[in-house]
Amino acid sequence: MELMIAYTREILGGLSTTLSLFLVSLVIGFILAAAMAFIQIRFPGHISKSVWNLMFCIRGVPMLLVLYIIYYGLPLLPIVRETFLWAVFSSPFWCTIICLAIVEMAFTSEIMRGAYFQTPKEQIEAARSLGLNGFQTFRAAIFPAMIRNGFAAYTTEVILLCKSTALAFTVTVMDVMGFANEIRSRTLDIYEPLLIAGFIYLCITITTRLALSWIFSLISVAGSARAEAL
Amino acid sequence: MLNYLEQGWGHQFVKAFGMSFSIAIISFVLSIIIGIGATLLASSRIRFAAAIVKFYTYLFRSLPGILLLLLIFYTADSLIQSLVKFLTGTSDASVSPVVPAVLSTSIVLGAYATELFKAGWADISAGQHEAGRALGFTRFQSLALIILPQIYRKVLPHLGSLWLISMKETALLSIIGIPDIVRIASLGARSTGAPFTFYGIAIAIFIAFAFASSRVFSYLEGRSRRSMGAI
Repeated sequence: MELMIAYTREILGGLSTTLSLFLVSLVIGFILAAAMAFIQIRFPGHISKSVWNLMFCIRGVPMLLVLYIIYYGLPLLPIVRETFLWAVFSSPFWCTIICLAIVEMAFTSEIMRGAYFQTPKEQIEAARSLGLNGFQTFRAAIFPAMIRNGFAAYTTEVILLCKSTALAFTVTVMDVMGFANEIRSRTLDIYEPLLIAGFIYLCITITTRLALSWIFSLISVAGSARAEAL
Repeated sequence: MLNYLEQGWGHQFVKAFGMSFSIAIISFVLSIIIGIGATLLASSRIRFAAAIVKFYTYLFRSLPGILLLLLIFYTADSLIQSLVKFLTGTSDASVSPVVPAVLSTSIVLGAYATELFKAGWADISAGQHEAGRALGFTRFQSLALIILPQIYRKVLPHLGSLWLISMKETALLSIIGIPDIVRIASLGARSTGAPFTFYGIAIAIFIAFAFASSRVFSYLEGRSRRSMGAI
Protein backbone atom coordinates (compact mmCIF):
# COMPACT_ATOMS: atom_id res chain seq x y z
CA MET A 1 0.00 0.00 0.00
CA GLU A 2 2.79 2.37 0.90
CA LEU A 3 4.44 1.41 -2.35
CA MET A 4 1.28 2.28 -4.26
CA ILE A 5 1.13 5.70 -2.61
CA ALA A 6 4.79 6.34 -3.40
CA TYR A 7 4.24 5.30 -7.03
CA THR A 8 1.10 7.41 -7.32
CA ARG A 9 2.93 10.44 -5.99
CA GLU A 10 5.75 9.94 -8.48
CA ILE A 11 3.43 9.38 -11.45
CA LEU A 12 1.29 12.40 -10.56
CA GLY A 13 4.46 14.44 -11.10
CA GLY A 14 3.84 13.98 -14.81
CA LEU A 15 0.22 15.12 -14.70
CA SER A 16 0.95 18.76 -15.51
CA THR A 17 3.07 17.73 -18.51
CA THR A 18 0.33 15.44 -19.82
CA LEU A 19 -2.33 18.12 -19.37
CA SER A 20 -0.26 20.83 -21.05
CA LEU A 21 0.60 18.52 -23.97
CA PHE A 22 -3.10 17.80 -24.34
CA LEU A 23 -4.49 21.32 -24.04
CA VAL A 24 -1.81 23.20 -26.01
CA SER A 25 -1.95 20.77 -28.94
CA LEU A 26 -5.76 20.79 -28.78
CA VAL A 27 -5.84 24.58 -29.27
CA ILE A 28 -3.11 24.67 -31.96
CA GLY A 29 -4.65 21.67 -33.74
CA PHE A 30 -8.09 23.28 -33.73
CA ILE A 31 -6.79 26.50 -35.26
CA LEU A 32 -4.83 24.62 -37.95
CA ALA A 33 -7.83 22.38 -38.66
CA ALA A 34 -10.11 25.39 -39.07
CA ALA A 35 -7.62 26.93 -41.52
CA MET A 36 -7.34 23.68 -43.52
CA ALA A 37 -11.12 23.17 -43.59
CA PHE A 38 -11.54 26.80 -44.69
CA ILE A 39 -9.09 26.34 -47.57
CA GLN A 40 -10.87 23.17 -48.68
CA ILE A 41 -14.30 24.82 -48.60
CA ARG A 42 -13.31 28.22 -50.01
CA PHE A 43 -11.08 27.04 -52.89
CA PRO A 44 -12.70 24.07 -54.61
CA GLY A 45 -10.75 22.31 -57.35
CA HIS A 46 -7.05 21.52 -57.30
CA ILE A 47 -6.17 23.34 -54.07
CA SER A 48 -8.98 21.67 -52.15
CA LYS A 49 -8.10 18.28 -53.59
CA SER A 50 -4.40 18.53 -52.77
CA VAL A 51 -5.07 19.72 -49.22
CA TRP A 52 -7.50 16.83 -48.76
CA ASN A 53 -4.90 14.37 -50.04
CA LEU A 54 -2.29 15.77 -47.67
CA MET A 55 -4.68 15.37 -44.74
CA PHE A 56 -5.48 11.83 -45.88
CA CYS A 57 -1.77 10.98 -45.93
CA ILE A 58 -1.25 12.31 -42.41
CA ARG A 59 -4.25 10.30 -41.21
CA GLY A 60 -2.78 7.14 -42.70
CA VAL A 61 0.59 7.38 -40.94
CA PRO A 62 1.07 6.14 -37.36
CA MET A 63 1.60 9.02 -34.93
CA LEU A 64 4.75 7.36 -33.68
CA LEU A 65 6.41 7.81 -37.09
CA VAL A 66 5.34 11.46 -37.32
CA LEU A 67 6.83 12.00 -33.88
CA TYR A 68 10.10 10.23 -34.76
CA ILE A 69 10.64 12.13 -38.00
CA ILE A 70 10.00 15.46 -36.24
CA TYR A 71 12.21 14.65 -33.25
CA TYR A 72 15.03 12.69 -34.91
CA GLY A 73 14.77 13.84 -38.53
CA LEU A 74 14.15 17.59 -38.59
CA PRO A 75 17.18 18.61 -36.47
CA LEU A 76 19.39 17.35 -39.34
CA LEU A 77 18.21 20.17 -41.58
CA PRO A 78 20.55 23.19 -41.42
CA ILE A 79 17.57 25.56 -41.55
CA VAL A 80 16.23 24.03 -38.35
CA ARG A 81 19.56 23.78 -36.60
CA GLU A 82 20.92 27.24 -37.34
CA THR A 83 17.88 29.47 -36.87
CA PHE A 84 15.46 30.25 -34.03
CA LEU A 85 13.63 27.01 -34.93
CA TRP A 86 16.30 25.12 -33.01
CA ALA A 87 14.83 26.42 -29.74
CA VAL A 88 11.58 24.66 -30.61
CA PHE A 89 12.89 21.47 -32.18
CA SER A 90 15.55 20.79 -29.58
CA SER A 91 12.85 20.29 -26.95
CA PRO A 92 11.09 16.92 -26.97
CA PHE A 93 8.07 18.57 -25.34
CA TRP A 94 7.55 20.99 -28.25
CA CYS A 95 8.26 18.29 -30.83
CA THR A 96 5.46 16.24 -29.30
CA ILE A 97 3.13 19.26 -29.33
CA ILE A 98 3.86 19.87 -33.02
CA CYS A 99 3.27 16.21 -33.84
CA LEU A 100 0.00 16.05 -31.86
CA ALA A 101 -1.21 19.31 -33.44
CA ILE A 102 -0.49 18.06 -36.97
CA VAL A 103 -2.32 14.77 -36.40
CA GLU A 104 -5.21 16.57 -34.69
CA MET A 105 -5.37 18.99 -37.64
CA ALA A 106 -5.68 16.13 -40.14
CA PHE A 107 -8.57 14.47 -38.31
CA THR A 108 -10.44 17.57 -37.16
CA SER A 109 -10.32 19.33 -40.53
CA GLU A 110 -12.09 16.34 -42.04
CA ILE A 111 -14.77 16.49 -39.31
CA MET A 112 -15.24 20.23 -39.96
CA ARG A 113 -15.39 19.72 -43.73
CA GLY A 114 -17.95 16.93 -43.34
CA ALA A 115 -20.03 19.00 -40.93
CA TYR A 116 -19.99 21.96 -43.31
CA PHE A 117 -21.21 19.96 -46.29
CA GLN A 118 -23.97 18.38 -44.20
CA THR A 119 -25.50 21.82 -43.62
CA PRO A 120 -28.75 22.00 -45.66
CA LYS A 121 -28.37 24.30 -48.69
CA GLU A 122 -31.80 25.81 -48.01
CA GLN A 123 -30.62 27.17 -44.67
CA ILE A 124 -27.71 28.98 -46.29
CA GLU A 125 -29.93 30.34 -49.08
CA ALA A 126 -32.54 31.45 -46.53
CA ALA A 127 -29.91 33.34 -44.55
CA ARG A 128 -28.59 34.92 -47.76
CA SER A 129 -32.07 35.98 -48.86
CA LEU A 130 -32.57 37.71 -45.51
CA GLY A 131 -29.71 40.00 -46.55
CA LEU A 132 -26.99 38.57 -44.27
CA ASN A 133 -23.43 38.88 -45.52
CA GLY A 134 -20.94 36.01 -45.66
CA PHE A 135 -19.77 36.15 -42.06
CA GLN A 136 -23.29 36.70 -40.69
CA THR A 137 -24.53 33.71 -42.69
CA PHE A 138 -21.75 31.62 -41.22
CA ARG A 139 -22.55 32.73 -37.67
CA ALA A 140 -26.33 32.39 -37.88
CA ALA A 141 -26.88 29.45 -40.23
CA ILE A 142 -23.75 27.39 -40.88
CA PHE A 143 -21.92 27.39 -37.55
CA PRO A 144 -24.86 26.10 -35.43
CA ALA A 145 -25.51 23.35 -37.97
CA MET A 146 -21.81 22.42 -37.99
CA ILE A 147 -21.80 22.16 -34.21
CA ARG A 148 -24.84 19.88 -34.26
CA ASN A 149 -23.43 17.67 -37.02
CA GLY A 150 -19.85 17.46 -35.92
CA PHE A 151 -19.79 17.60 -32.16
CA ALA A 152 -20.05 13.86 -31.47
CA ALA A 153 -17.21 13.10 -33.87
CA TYR A 154 -15.15 15.95 -32.43
CA THR A 155 -15.61 14.58 -28.89
CA THR A 156 -14.23 11.21 -30.03
CA GLU A 157 -11.33 12.99 -31.70
CA VAL A 158 -10.48 15.00 -28.57
CA ILE A 159 -10.46 11.80 -26.49
CA LEU A 160 -8.16 10.21 -29.10
CA LEU A 161 -5.82 13.20 -28.84
CA CYS A 162 -5.78 12.89 -25.06
CA LYS A 163 -4.84 9.23 -25.37
CA SER A 164 -2.19 9.98 -27.99
CA THR A 165 -0.28 12.22 -25.55
CA ALA A 166 0.85 8.97 -23.89
CA LEU A 167 3.25 8.40 -26.79
CA ALA A 168 5.36 11.36 -25.66
CA PHE A 169 7.44 9.09 -23.43
CA THR A 170 9.01 7.53 -26.54
CA VAL A 171 10.92 10.79 -27.09
CA THR A 172 11.89 11.14 -23.40
CA VAL A 173 9.10 13.50 -22.29
CA MET A 174 8.31 12.74 -18.64
CA ASP A 175 4.52 12.77 -18.62
CA VAL A 176 2.20 10.40 -16.72
CA MET A 177 3.10 7.50 -19.01
CA GLY A 178 6.76 8.54 -18.89
CA PHE A 179 6.95 8.25 -15.09
CA ALA A 180 4.94 5.00 -15.13
CA ASN A 181 7.31 3.55 -17.69
CA GLU A 182 10.33 4.76 -15.74
CA ILE A 183 9.06 3.00 -12.59
CA ARG A 184 8.33 -0.09 -14.68
CA SER A 185 11.84 -0.35 -16.03
CA ARG A 186 13.48 0.56 -12.70
CA THR A 187 11.55 -1.76 -10.36
CA LEU A 188 10.28 -4.40 -12.85
CA ASP A 189 6.82 -3.95 -11.29
CA ILE A 190 4.54 -4.00 -14.33
CA TYR A 191 1.03 -3.76 -13.03
CA GLU A 192 1.16 -1.16 -10.26
CA PRO A 193 2.59 1.79 -12.24
CA LEU A 194 0.59 1.04 -15.38
CA LEU A 195 -2.70 0.65 -13.50
CA ILE A 196 -2.11 3.89 -11.59
CA ALA A 197 -1.33 5.68 -14.86
CA GLY A 198 -4.43 4.10 -16.43
CA PHE A 199 -6.58 5.39 -13.58
CA ILE A 200 -5.18 8.91 -14.07
CA TYR A 201 -5.87 8.78 -17.83
CA LEU A 202 -9.38 7.51 -17.12
CA CYS A 203 -10.01 10.52 -14.84
CA ILE A 204 -8.72 12.89 -17.53
CA THR A 205 -10.88 11.38 -20.30
CA ILE A 206 -14.02 11.28 -18.13
CA THR A 207 -13.50 14.93 -17.17
CA THR A 208 -12.93 15.81 -20.84
CA ARG A 209 -16.15 14.08 -21.90
CA LEU A 210 -18.13 15.88 -19.19
CA ALA A 211 -16.57 19.24 -20.06
CA LEU A 212 -17.28 18.81 -23.78
CA SER A 213 -20.92 17.81 -23.26
CA TRP A 214 -21.30 20.82 -20.94
CA ILE A 215 -19.85 23.11 -23.62
CA PHE A 216 -22.12 21.50 -26.22
CA SER A 217 -25.22 22.09 -24.08
CA LEU A 218 -24.18 25.73 -23.62
CA ILE A 219 -23.64 26.30 -27.35
CA SER A 220 -26.70 24.45 -28.57
CA VAL A 221 -29.00 26.09 -26.01
CA ALA A 222 -27.63 29.49 -26.96
CA GLY A 223 -28.19 28.64 -30.63
CA SER A 224 -31.81 27.56 -30.16
CA ALA A 225 -32.53 30.61 -28.00
CA ARG A 226 -31.25 32.83 -30.80
CA ALA A 227 -33.33 30.94 -33.33
CA GLU A 228 -36.43 31.53 -31.23
CA ALA A 229 -35.56 35.21 -30.85
CA LEU A 230 -35.21 35.53 -34.60
CA MET B 1 18.16 6.14 -50.62
CA LEU B 2 18.68 3.35 -53.18
CA ASN B 3 22.11 2.97 -51.68
CA TYR B 4 20.65 2.00 -48.30
CA LEU B 5 18.06 -0.28 -49.85
CA GLU B 6 20.83 -2.16 -51.63
CA GLN B 7 22.80 -2.59 -48.43
CA GLY B 8 20.24 -5.10 -47.20
CA TRP B 9 17.80 -2.62 -45.64
CA GLY B 10 15.40 -3.15 -48.53
CA HIS B 11 15.15 -6.81 -47.60
CA GLN B 12 14.65 -5.82 -43.96
CA PHE B 13 11.83 -3.47 -44.92
CA VAL B 14 10.09 -6.16 -46.97
CA LYS B 15 10.27 -8.56 -44.03
CA ALA B 16 9.07 -5.83 -41.64
CA PHE B 17 6.14 -5.01 -43.90
CA GLY B 18 5.20 -8.69 -43.91
CA MET B 19 5.31 -8.67 -40.10
CA SER B 20 3.23 -5.47 -39.78
CA PHE B 21 0.75 -6.60 -42.40
CA SER B 22 0.21 -10.06 -40.95
CA ILE B 23 -0.14 -8.76 -37.39
CA ALA B 24 -2.61 -6.12 -38.65
CA ILE B 25 -4.69 -8.61 -40.59
CA ILE B 26 -4.81 -11.21 -37.79
CA SER B 27 -5.71 -8.52 -35.23
CA PHE B 28 -8.33 -7.12 -37.58
CA VAL B 29 -10.02 -10.51 -38.01
CA LEU B 30 -9.78 -11.34 -34.30
CA SER B 31 -11.16 -7.92 -33.35
CA ILE B 32 -14.15 -8.47 -35.65
CA ILE B 33 -14.76 -11.85 -33.99
CA ILE B 34 -14.53 -10.15 -30.58
CA GLY B 35 -16.89 -7.43 -31.82
CA ILE B 36 -19.54 -9.86 -33.05
CA GLY B 37 -19.19 -12.02 -29.95
CA ALA B 38 -19.50 -9.07 -27.59
CA THR B 39 -22.52 -7.75 -29.52
CA LEU B 40 -24.27 -11.11 -29.24
CA LEU B 41 -23.37 -11.24 -25.56
CA ALA B 42 -24.73 -7.72 -24.98
CA SER B 43 -28.04 -8.56 -26.65
CA SER B 44 -28.41 -11.94 -24.91
CA ARG B 45 -30.48 -12.52 -21.81
CA ILE B 46 -27.43 -13.26 -19.67
CA ARG B 47 -27.50 -11.10 -16.60
CA PHE B 48 -24.99 -8.21 -16.46
CA ALA B 49 -23.64 -9.18 -19.90
CA ALA B 50 -24.69 -5.87 -21.45
CA ALA B 51 -23.15 -3.94 -18.55
CA ILE B 52 -19.87 -5.87 -18.81
CA VAL B 53 -19.63 -5.24 -22.57
CA LYS B 54 -20.36 -1.56 -22.01
CA PHE B 55 -17.66 -1.39 -19.35
CA TYR B 56 -15.17 -3.07 -21.70
CA THR B 57 -15.78 -0.68 -24.59
CA TYR B 58 -15.87 2.41 -22.36
CA LEU B 59 -12.67 1.51 -20.54
CA PHE B 60 -10.77 0.54 -23.67
CA ARG B 61 -11.81 3.64 -25.57
CA SER B 62 -10.75 5.85 -22.65
CA LEU B 63 -7.24 4.51 -22.02
CA PRO B 64 -4.14 5.14 -24.15
CA GLY B 65 -3.46 2.31 -26.60
CA ILE B 66 0.19 1.93 -25.61
CA LEU B 67 -0.73 1.55 -21.92
CA LEU B 68 -3.29 -1.17 -22.71
CA LEU B 69 -0.87 -2.89 -25.08
CA LEU B 70 1.84 -3.04 -22.41
CA LEU B 71 -0.61 -4.32 -19.76
CA ILE B 72 -2.15 -7.02 -21.97
CA PHE B 73 1.17 -7.95 -23.54
CA TYR B 74 2.85 -8.73 -20.22
CA THR B 75 -0.23 -10.48 -18.82
CA ALA B 76 -0.73 -12.60 -21.94
CA ASP B 77 2.99 -13.31 -22.17
CA SER B 78 3.25 -14.69 -18.64
CA LEU B 79 -0.04 -16.62 -19.03
CA ILE B 80 1.13 -18.22 -22.27
CA GLN B 81 4.55 -19.05 -20.86
CA SER B 82 3.06 -20.78 -17.83
CA LEU B 83 0.51 -22.57 -20.03
CA VAL B 84 3.26 -23.87 -22.28
CA LYS B 85 5.28 -24.90 -19.24
CA PHE B 86 2.24 -26.73 -17.88
CA LEU B 87 1.50 -28.50 -21.16
CA THR B 88 5.00 -29.52 -22.15
CA GLY B 89 6.41 -29.93 -18.67
CA THR B 90 9.65 -28.25 -19.65
CA SER B 91 10.71 -24.82 -18.54
CA ASP B 92 12.86 -23.91 -21.52
CA ALA B 93 10.00 -23.86 -24.06
CA SER B 94 9.42 -20.31 -25.18
CA VAL B 95 6.71 -18.69 -27.26
CA SER B 96 7.47 -15.91 -29.70
CA PRO B 97 6.44 -12.48 -28.33
CA VAL B 98 4.38 -12.01 -31.49
CA VAL B 99 1.57 -14.15 -30.02
CA PRO B 100 0.87 -11.96 -26.97
CA ALA B 101 1.44 -8.90 -29.17
CA VAL B 102 -1.28 -9.97 -31.60
CA LEU B 103 -3.58 -10.79 -28.68
CA SER B 104 -3.09 -7.33 -27.18
CA THR B 105 -3.81 -5.42 -30.39
CA SER B 106 -6.86 -7.63 -31.03
CA ILE B 107 -8.34 -6.94 -27.61
CA VAL B 108 -7.72 -3.18 -27.94
CA LEU B 109 -9.22 -3.06 -31.46
CA GLY B 110 -12.03 -5.37 -30.34
CA ALA B 111 -13.45 -2.50 -28.26
CA TYR B 112 -13.81 -0.37 -31.41
CA ALA B 113 -15.25 -3.29 -33.39
CA THR B 114 -17.78 -3.95 -30.62
CA GLU B 115 -18.99 -0.37 -30.81
CA LEU B 116 -19.42 -0.69 -34.59
CA PHE B 117 -21.31 -3.96 -34.46
CA LYS B 118 -23.49 -2.82 -31.56
CA ALA B 119 -24.51 0.25 -33.59
CA GLY B 120 -25.16 -1.96 -36.64
CA TRP B 121 -27.16 -4.43 -34.52
CA ALA B 122 -29.33 -1.65 -33.10
CA ASP B 123 -30.25 -0.62 -36.66
CA ILE B 124 -31.71 -4.05 -37.49
CA SER B 125 -35.40 -4.07 -36.64
CA ALA B 126 -36.83 -6.80 -34.40
CA GLY B 127 -39.02 -7.89 -37.34
CA GLN B 128 -35.95 -9.26 -39.12
CA HIS B 129 -35.18 -11.61 -36.22
CA GLU B 130 -38.82 -12.66 -36.02
CA ALA B 131 -39.04 -13.21 -39.78
CA GLY B 132 -36.06 -15.56 -39.62
CA ARG B 133 -37.69 -17.49 -36.78
CA ALA B 134 -41.04 -17.57 -38.62
CA LEU B 135 -39.42 -19.05 -41.73
CA GLY B 136 -38.11 -21.91 -39.61
CA PHE B 137 -34.46 -20.83 -39.51
CA THR B 138 -32.46 -21.83 -36.47
CA ARG B 139 -30.90 -19.07 -34.38
CA PHE B 140 -27.53 -19.59 -36.03
CA GLN B 141 -28.96 -19.69 -39.56
CA SER B 142 -30.95 -16.50 -39.12
CA LEU B 143 -27.89 -14.82 -37.66
CA ALA B 144 -25.56 -15.91 -40.45
CA LEU B 145 -27.95 -15.55 -43.40
CA ILE B 146 -30.24 -12.65 -42.43
CA ILE B 147 -28.77 -10.46 -39.72
CA LEU B 148 -25.00 -10.40 -40.34
CA PRO B 149 -25.22 -9.60 -44.09
CA GLN B 150 -27.33 -6.55 -43.28
CA ILE B 151 -24.96 -5.47 -40.52
CA TYR B 152 -22.04 -5.99 -42.93
CA ARG B 153 -23.46 -3.40 -45.35
CA LYS B 154 -24.02 -0.91 -42.54
CA VAL B 155 -20.60 -1.22 -40.93
CA LEU B 156 -18.48 -1.65 -44.09
CA PRO B 157 -17.38 2.02 -44.34
CA HIS B 158 -16.41 1.94 -40.67
CA LEU B 159 -14.59 -1.37 -41.09
CA GLY B 160 -12.39 0.48 -43.58
CA SER B 161 -11.29 2.92 -40.91
CA LEU B 162 -10.94 0.11 -38.36
CA TRP B 163 -8.57 -1.61 -40.80
CA LEU B 164 -6.45 1.53 -41.12
CA ILE B 165 -6.43 1.89 -37.33
CA SER B 166 -5.29 -1.72 -36.95
CA MET B 167 -2.42 -1.11 -39.38
CA LYS B 168 -1.43 1.98 -37.41
CA GLU B 169 -1.83 0.20 -34.08
CA THR B 170 0.86 -2.32 -35.02
CA ALA B 171 3.31 0.59 -35.09
CA LEU B 172 2.97 0.74 -31.29
CA LEU B 173 4.27 -2.83 -31.06
CA SER B 174 7.69 -1.52 -32.11
CA ILE B 175 7.94 -0.10 -28.56
CA ILE B 176 7.65 -3.65 -27.19
CA GLY B 177 10.34 -4.79 -29.64
CA ILE B 178 8.36 -6.52 -32.37
CA PRO B 179 10.37 -6.08 -35.62
CA ASP B 180 7.72 -4.17 -37.58
CA ILE B 181 8.18 -1.30 -40.06
CA VAL B 182 8.70 1.37 -37.41
CA ARG B 183 11.20 -0.77 -35.51
CA ILE B 184 13.27 -1.43 -38.65
CA ALA B 185 13.13 2.26 -39.58
CA SER B 186 14.36 3.20 -36.09
CA LEU B 187 17.16 0.66 -36.22
CA GLY B 188 18.20 1.88 -39.65
CA ALA B 189 18.02 5.52 -38.65
CA ARG B 190 20.19 4.88 -35.60
CA SER B 191 22.80 2.70 -37.23
CA THR B 192 23.28 4.73 -40.43
CA GLY B 193 22.61 8.22 -39.09
CA ALA B 194 20.07 8.96 -41.81
CA PRO B 195 16.76 9.31 -39.95
CA PHE B 196 15.11 11.25 -42.77
CA THR B 197 15.61 8.47 -45.30
CA PHE B 198 14.54 5.65 -43.02
CA TYR B 199 11.50 7.29 -41.41
CA GLY B 200 10.64 8.67 -44.85
CA ILE B 201 10.58 5.17 -46.35
CA ALA B 202 8.40 3.94 -43.47
CA ILE B 203 5.99 6.87 -43.90
CA ALA B 204 5.83 6.27 -47.66
CA ILE B 205 4.97 2.61 -47.06
CA PHE B 206 2.10 3.57 -44.75
CA ILE B 207 0.76 6.22 -47.15
CA ALA B 208 0.85 3.86 -50.13
CA PHE B 209 -0.85 1.27 -47.98
CA ALA B 210 -3.57 3.73 -46.88
CA PHE B 211 -4.35 4.66 -50.49
CA ALA B 212 -4.45 1.00 -51.55
CA SER B 213 -6.74 0.13 -48.63
CA SER B 214 -9.14 2.95 -49.38
CA ARG B 215 -9.33 1.69 -53.01
CA VAL B 216 -10.15 -1.83 -51.83
CA PHE B 217 -12.80 -0.65 -49.40
CA SER B 218 -14.49 1.68 -51.88
CA TYR B 219 -14.63 -1.26 -54.32
CA LEU B 220 -16.20 -3.44 -51.60
CA GLU B 221 -18.69 -0.69 -50.75
CA GLY B 222 -19.66 -0.30 -54.39
CA ARG B 223 -20.19 -4.04 -54.67
CA SER B 224 -22.31 -4.24 -51.52
CA ARG B 225 -24.42 -1.31 -52.73
CA ARG B 226 -24.98 -3.03 -56.10
CA SER B 227 -26.10 -6.26 -54.43
CA MET B 228 -28.41 -4.18 -52.25
CA GLY B 229 -29.98 -2.74 -55.41
CA ALA B 230 -30.59 -6.23 -56.77
CA ILE B 231 -32.88 -6.98 -53.83
